[in-house]
Amino acid sequence: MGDDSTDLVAKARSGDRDAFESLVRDTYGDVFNLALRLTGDENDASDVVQDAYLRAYRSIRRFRGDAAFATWMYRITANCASTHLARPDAAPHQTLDTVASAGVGRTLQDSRSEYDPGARSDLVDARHRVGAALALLSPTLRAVVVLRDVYDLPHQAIAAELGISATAAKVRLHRARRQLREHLYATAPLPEAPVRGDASTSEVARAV
Amino acid sequence: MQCDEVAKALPRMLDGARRGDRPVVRHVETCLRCQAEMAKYRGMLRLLEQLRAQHPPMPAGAPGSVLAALGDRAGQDVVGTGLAGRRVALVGGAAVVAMGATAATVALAVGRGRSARSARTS
Repeated sequence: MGDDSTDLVAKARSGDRDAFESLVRDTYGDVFNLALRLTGDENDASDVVQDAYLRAYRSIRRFRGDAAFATWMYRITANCASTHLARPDAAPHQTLDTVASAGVGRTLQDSRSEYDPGARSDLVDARHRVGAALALLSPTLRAVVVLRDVYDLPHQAIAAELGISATAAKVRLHRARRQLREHLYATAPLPEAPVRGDASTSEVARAV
Repeated sequence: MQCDEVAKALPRMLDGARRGDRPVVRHVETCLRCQAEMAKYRGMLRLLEQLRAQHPPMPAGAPGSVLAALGDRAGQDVVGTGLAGRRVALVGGAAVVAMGATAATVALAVGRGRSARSARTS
């Protein structure tokens, strides 16, 4: 990104659709990753990403370039995910109960060889666990911790996109961190469970 | 200050200690248990930061479906623009016709008034 991105943004703002498509290709992986972290469901994430890019396409002329295009897309994606998750037909988030009922007494294995437990490092294991622990948070708590601690958005931006006050965003963030810490460093190991559509988080939070 | 109270403040202090956090900071400096707790939080934050670079497998067809949707949207915009242009032309034409009709009516009325006045004077 960088200068190339600035150039593409300038062209896209003047109506160059090819330039906008290049921006989509450059940022898609990151934006999809964010949408998946926020929704916890691959289909929901795909819908959110499509909505986000369509919204960006419609409003690209209003994008002033104060932040990077990717950061602007994170904000739009957060807003779209928030709207999407408020819909009654959105996929329910996982709770300790649902995770437990899915995984008690057995270990869910990822069939792909690259996710062979024996071949993974401790660091990769730890990342998987934190990803799985995130999936255990409620969507409202997960959103703030993902946007702040994974994507480094400022409190004000998070509050604006989620439609809450900055104070409420901070309160949610601290609550989310506390819950995440409890899931990650629980004294009793949690059962393993998959996070739909996210192979990297197909493990369960357990003691680190 | 007790460890339980400090534990409640730690998630907030990851963003930096505030002026009122001095007692918490002092406690953590001398309490191994709370230092370990803080280390856990910091480790958790490092892992969260790393998640950003850890991309899950992309869904099949991505990002083609988004680009196709953009193409559809662009097509709608072109059609929409064309329709909007036609609507402007129609409204403009109707306005011109209405103004012409009004002018003709006024001219007719004025002409009739003059004829009536000239008839009375003669």
